[in-house]
Amino acid sequence: MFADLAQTVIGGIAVGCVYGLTALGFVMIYKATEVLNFAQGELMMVAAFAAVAAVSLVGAPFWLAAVLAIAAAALAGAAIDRLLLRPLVGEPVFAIVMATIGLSYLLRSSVSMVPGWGSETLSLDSPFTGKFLRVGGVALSQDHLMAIVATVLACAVLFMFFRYTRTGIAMQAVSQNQLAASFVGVRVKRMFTLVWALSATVAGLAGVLLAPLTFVHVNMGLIGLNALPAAVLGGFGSIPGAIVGGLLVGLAEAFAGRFGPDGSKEIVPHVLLLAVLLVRPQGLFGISLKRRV
Amino acid sequence: MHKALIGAVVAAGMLAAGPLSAQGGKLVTQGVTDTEILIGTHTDLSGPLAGVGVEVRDAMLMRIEELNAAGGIHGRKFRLIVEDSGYDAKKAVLAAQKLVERDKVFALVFPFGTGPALATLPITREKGIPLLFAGSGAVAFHTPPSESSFGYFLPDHFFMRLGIDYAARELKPKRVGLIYQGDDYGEAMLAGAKESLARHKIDLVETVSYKPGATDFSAQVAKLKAANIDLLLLGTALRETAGVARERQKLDWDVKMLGGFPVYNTISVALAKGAMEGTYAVGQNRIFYPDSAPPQVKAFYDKYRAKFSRDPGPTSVAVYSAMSWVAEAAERAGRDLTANGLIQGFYKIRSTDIFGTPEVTFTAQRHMPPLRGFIAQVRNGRWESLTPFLE
Repeated sequence: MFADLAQTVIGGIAVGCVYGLTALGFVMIYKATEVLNFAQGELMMVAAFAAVAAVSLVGAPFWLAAVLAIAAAALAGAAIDRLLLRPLVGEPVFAIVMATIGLSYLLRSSVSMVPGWGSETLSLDSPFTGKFLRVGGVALSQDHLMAIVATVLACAVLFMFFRYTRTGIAMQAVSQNQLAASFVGVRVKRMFTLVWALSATVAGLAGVLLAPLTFVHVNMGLIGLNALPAAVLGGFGSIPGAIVGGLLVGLAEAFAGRFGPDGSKEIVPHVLLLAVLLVRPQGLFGISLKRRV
Repeated sequence: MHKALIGAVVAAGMLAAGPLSAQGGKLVTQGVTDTEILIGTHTDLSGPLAGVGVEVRDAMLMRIEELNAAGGIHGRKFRLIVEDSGYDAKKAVLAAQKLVERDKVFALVFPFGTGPALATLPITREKGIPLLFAGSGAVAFHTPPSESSFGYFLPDHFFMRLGIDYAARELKPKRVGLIYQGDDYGEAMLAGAKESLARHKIDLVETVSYKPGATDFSAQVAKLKAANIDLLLLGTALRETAGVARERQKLDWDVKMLGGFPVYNTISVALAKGAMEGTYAVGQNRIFYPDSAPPQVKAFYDKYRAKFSRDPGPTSVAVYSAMSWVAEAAERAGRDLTANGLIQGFYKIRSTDIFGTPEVTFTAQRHMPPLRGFIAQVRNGRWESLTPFLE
């Protein structure tokens, strides 16, 4: 019984980390540019495929493949900002959101056209796949533990980046007030590109952590839809909130799946989303901004 | 949102049309010219069963090419139009409507997947177009007998029966669990499991389902493990089978697994990377491996591989056979080819093939291949047949 509980908790936290990272990417872009990036899940999917390609075509070990995939995702993020979004500056937010939705379709279709990738379901094994950490009679999957550890490290790195580096502080400035930031000399357009690259990096990390847990296939980015409730739950403007929101959604899903009635697992993230919007729309950590008139 | 509205309107239209054409309207002949027979199909080229869905397209193209190269049927060559259903019933309906009404195909051959194929059955029935050898084990294609439709795969509950009879004899389980896909196929497996287990007085203690397209089965497998079962029945398809097997491995659990014909394929075994070792399945068409295949099968293998850069699977064999039967029926229908003539032609078929399948016939009461299957098990990464063809 305890083993069951422990495995459910660890599994829920691991998937929650993936949700959290994806939600983190959402929130970062939203804070800086007020754009909802509906292609976040697809960036994760592209990174996962890139990692599989690196392993199967070049024979790279998992670590190298992961690094290459994440770097590729970062470049893709930067490219998306320069090529897709910069021309759309000044357009209504709705148009930009439609552009990101279109991008998500484009990425899915492009990947499905690649021979050997498109119609296949592939798998990516990490050095931890199939191995267990046995603690007190409970077998914990090492892939789950890797996801948790990697997320913690990523959060630590991001925290230090935002707190202690000039670029990080500049990014925060842009998030708070673009005009003021540009007045004090921050290159706002460059910050945008950087935010997109950073958000894509986080998505890439999420993809590389998720791939050993499930399968790599063209529709795996749809998990990004589960990250939206996580972001809202945490408070849409809050970065630590995104991670916490992700963990809560992951745990709720895991417990619903294990102990709840059949099929409740799929609806839990969305029920949570509705509940949060009804009870506390600003989320757990969000600040409710009221305009002073 | 928009999609849901279209789907609702189509569904309402189908419901309205249903009772009027319950046993099929008159058979309609279209898509036949002096030089060409136009056939259509829809299959999963981009969704969860795409790994097998492309085999449908490839095998059909290969057989048609062979037939056309040999001169066609009474001087007519086959032409094939393939649509992608993505294993989505809504898309399949649109694809079928296009094929039947716009392209005006003579027949729909091997539309793939229970959900998508079932969704298109009312369309072909209403329009009187033959739906030949649906790639599904759903009984609606042949029960009650309908003039215009044939099923290819034997009923899911038949496979469950064969499998559970074997399990009761050899494995003697006491507590059985089932994981099944949350769609028509999975429901059929559930019904078949309940019926066969009840017959043997074995308890079905836990059933769990998953949404089609799901890739995470941790919760479901954990639930099954907690129910303390000693046999797990698999109402799963391609990657789900591998996913369940890997979850079972992750939980350090060694319960025996048994599935129907969708489990009997090489793609799941490869994807599972060893986690499917020891899994049982019931098969309809044997899987051959290139190094152990008889010469004529090896020739088929090599040709398929050369053309499509992939190994043929049991579905490739199924589609190749089905297309051969269609051609034979059209041949027997004579130069003046009509839909009625084609259906009558099927009843004259006594077909054997290069794969060693026992003789195939069809009757007006049985619009599917003869009921027989065999049990196989994954040993050292390969499927090995444990029994001959059983009835």
